[in-house]
Amino acid sequence: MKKVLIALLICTMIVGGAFAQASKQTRALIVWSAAAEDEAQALVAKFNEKYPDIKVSVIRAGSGELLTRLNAEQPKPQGDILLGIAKESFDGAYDLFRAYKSVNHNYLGADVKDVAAVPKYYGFSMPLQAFMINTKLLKEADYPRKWTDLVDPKYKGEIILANPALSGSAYAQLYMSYKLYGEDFAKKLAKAATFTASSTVGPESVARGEYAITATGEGNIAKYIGEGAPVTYVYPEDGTGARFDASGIIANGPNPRSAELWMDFVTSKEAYTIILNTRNRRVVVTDLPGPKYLPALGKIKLIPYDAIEAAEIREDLSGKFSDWMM
Amino acid sequence: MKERNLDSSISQGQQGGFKKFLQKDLTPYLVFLIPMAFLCVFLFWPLVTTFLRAFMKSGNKFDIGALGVSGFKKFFTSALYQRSLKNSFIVGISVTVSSLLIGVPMGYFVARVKIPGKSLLLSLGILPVIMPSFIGAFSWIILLGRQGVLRYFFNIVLAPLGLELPPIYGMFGMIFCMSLTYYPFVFLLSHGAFSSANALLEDAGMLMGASRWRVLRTITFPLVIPSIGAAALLVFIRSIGNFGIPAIIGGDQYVLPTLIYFRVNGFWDLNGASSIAVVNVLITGAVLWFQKYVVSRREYETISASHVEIQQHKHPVLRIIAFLYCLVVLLVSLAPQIVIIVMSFFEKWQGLLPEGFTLANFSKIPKNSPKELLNSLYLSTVATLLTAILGSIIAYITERRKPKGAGILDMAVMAPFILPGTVVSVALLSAFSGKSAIPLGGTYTIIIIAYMVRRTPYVYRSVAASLTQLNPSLEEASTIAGAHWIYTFWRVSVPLILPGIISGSILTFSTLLQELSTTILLYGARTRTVPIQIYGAVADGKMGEASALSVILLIVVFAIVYATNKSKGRDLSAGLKM
Repeated sequence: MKKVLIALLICTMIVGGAFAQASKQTRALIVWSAAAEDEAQALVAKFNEKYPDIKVSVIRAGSGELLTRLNAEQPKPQGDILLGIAKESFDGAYDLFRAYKSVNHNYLGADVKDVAAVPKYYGFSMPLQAFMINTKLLKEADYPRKWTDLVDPKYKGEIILANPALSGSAYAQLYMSYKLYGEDFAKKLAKAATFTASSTVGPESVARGEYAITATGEGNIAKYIGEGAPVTYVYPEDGTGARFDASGIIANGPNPRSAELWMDFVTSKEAYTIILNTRNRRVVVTDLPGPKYLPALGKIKLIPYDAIEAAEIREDLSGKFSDWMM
Repeated sequence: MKERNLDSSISQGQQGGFKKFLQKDLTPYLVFLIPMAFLCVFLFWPLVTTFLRAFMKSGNKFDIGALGVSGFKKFFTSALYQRSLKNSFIVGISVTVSSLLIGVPMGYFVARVKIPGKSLLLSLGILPVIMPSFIGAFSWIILLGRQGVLRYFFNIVLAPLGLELPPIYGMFGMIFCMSLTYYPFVFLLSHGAFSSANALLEDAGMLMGASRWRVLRTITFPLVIPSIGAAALLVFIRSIGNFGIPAIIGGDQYVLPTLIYFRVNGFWDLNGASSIAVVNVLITGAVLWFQKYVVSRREYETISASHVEIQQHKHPVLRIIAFLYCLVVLLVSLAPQIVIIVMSFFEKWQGLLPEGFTLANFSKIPKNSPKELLNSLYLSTVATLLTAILGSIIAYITERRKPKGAGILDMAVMAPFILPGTVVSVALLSAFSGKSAIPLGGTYTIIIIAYMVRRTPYVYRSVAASLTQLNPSLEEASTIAGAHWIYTFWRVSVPLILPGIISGSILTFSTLLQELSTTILLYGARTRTVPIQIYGAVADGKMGEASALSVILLIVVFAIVYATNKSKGRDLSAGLKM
């Protein structure tokens, strides 16, 4: 056994060494990505068409892990770009990013980038929150239409939501409905649904028919529709918050110049086309259509989302909410 | 020895003292110094920072100036925290008890009853532990959820009786799934103990006219208590630290790891997470103390100088019962792995049955993941080998030399195992990246160190238990016969505790291959591993790809464990002949 292990060890070392071969790419760029694998790869491929000499590595993790990393690796983080995390998160760690004015600065509307003259982040996509419904379990006449429908007793045991303490989007759902209907509604909601501790479980469960209703980012709904799962979307008639995900340059990263080139690229029309098409995401620019399987922006009622207030009361609101569940 | 005493008594004073020091055999100190230095740098540092963080204001700022107990207040004010704490207790205790009930008989049967295919049973028995987070727990939903395929067929059978199997969600489901995931710890460790227990003692009992049951109850069972205690401890710690199963099957039933996950991923509040982690450590500390108390009430001696072939039960009824029992337990506990294997050949499994047969999930692997596979193998292998050395030496120190503060050392080795991976990794990251004196960010080394720090307890526990079973008289005999200390350790102690080292190493290797929570914070572009790929595939909804990668891990673990078990018998008897 020992011999086998040692042989294995030597083999892996030799093969491992082969990977360390020098490559022709002289410059480097490290992208920390909360976006999906294929999405990031498609963007990198396009970026390398323009800059073949830059070797791009992608570190994929959830936004919580990436921010934890960013904080832990101060004062000299090992990443250059943070890709596709919620705008609120950029605001929350504002000092850890570097301002840079993209060549496409004016291509993006004022409401989908950092308000500063030289912004620290630019919009990536718009993860609108909507209801995802299993069409085998519910008839169309029975679909929930508004946030208030979620507390209707007839849906008892049919709704699964992610815990607001878990992720930005789950909290956003709570904050929106809380702003619309106040604390009494939130108390009822806390009792009405099952709140899971994993953000992938909600959509997966509704697609399987374990539960009939969840609220999630519209991109997840499009994905399951595309796969042929028996699901559909309902955008709440009383409105869904206009939030966006963004990308920005990490301050003191190892490759500042490549990072700037990346920001110029990721705010270009061709990059947004990739973001739109790979994962059916709604992009932040107005000259591209809505995503496949999903309605155009004009058909959805948007309500303003005050990310700053949302962040301020988050600890308090999600804490109270957790106790209302008991 | 005599000469040395004589020597030092002749030359008195300072000079003589120094000379005496030099003449003393320093090798044991040198051998112990290296692991101790490792522990000081890489183990105590994360522990100390975590402990300090627990007393800081919520957030992720490391601010030594303002310490307080606000992080712990929630345990007194929040219903959520109290409920989660209670759930953690219930889950931990129930899972430990039921794992013992499942695992101990299985360990006994495989060690003591003549049944076919023992190596195979032992190798399959480790696989339930290989449950890549999320996908493993999700496969229980596929089987026993509302639309679960097994539940569907059970309900067809039960319908005439007017009964219906409820979906798996909730407390019972959590305990059920975790027991079936963690019983292998008990099975493997108790198997090791039953097969190395001194058969002479049992024979003596039999000769005195005791019944089989009496021998089992009064001789065999007490002899294997240390190993069973160690296994129970590992199960308890793993079950109160598990996040994936409660997240997916628990529904609204939260546990402490759920809260830690919320603090870290929802609020980037490492300090708050540390407070919860410290409570978790305290609970485990209490259990550790209890386990030590139970084990140390008596003296143990099971491995002795003359190795006697253990007699196996040959009664046909017992053989059939034993074989059927093992078969049923394996079949039920491997159900999620079977689901993963099936799912890896399909595009999706969203209804009752999987849809869209394909081989694409596998054919993509050589193109997409060769680097990740090699990294996983390399990192797990190196870390396992180093852990085996480190764990054995520390166990030897605490069990044989029994220095002052052995209890603290014991707890310190166990603590990173209890702490959530995120917390340990953050402590290592902030210490060894950025402008640190020893910059390790993005290297293989930092991952190996983190793996070692978090997984040493497997070998450590397992070896410590073996040492308690091993009568020191053999080692003493070797010393008296004039053997050098290292020779004694290497040629007498190590061969005798080899089963302990091997079973600990197997557990380490298998669990490292699927390690995610530490790796995801520490990996760099060069050091991506397979679990990172699986995590990405699950997050992107590609269950088929995630399953195919998991199947590869299952095959690797099975092959290595099977090879070990096949050759173990030979190795062992060779080691014992001496």
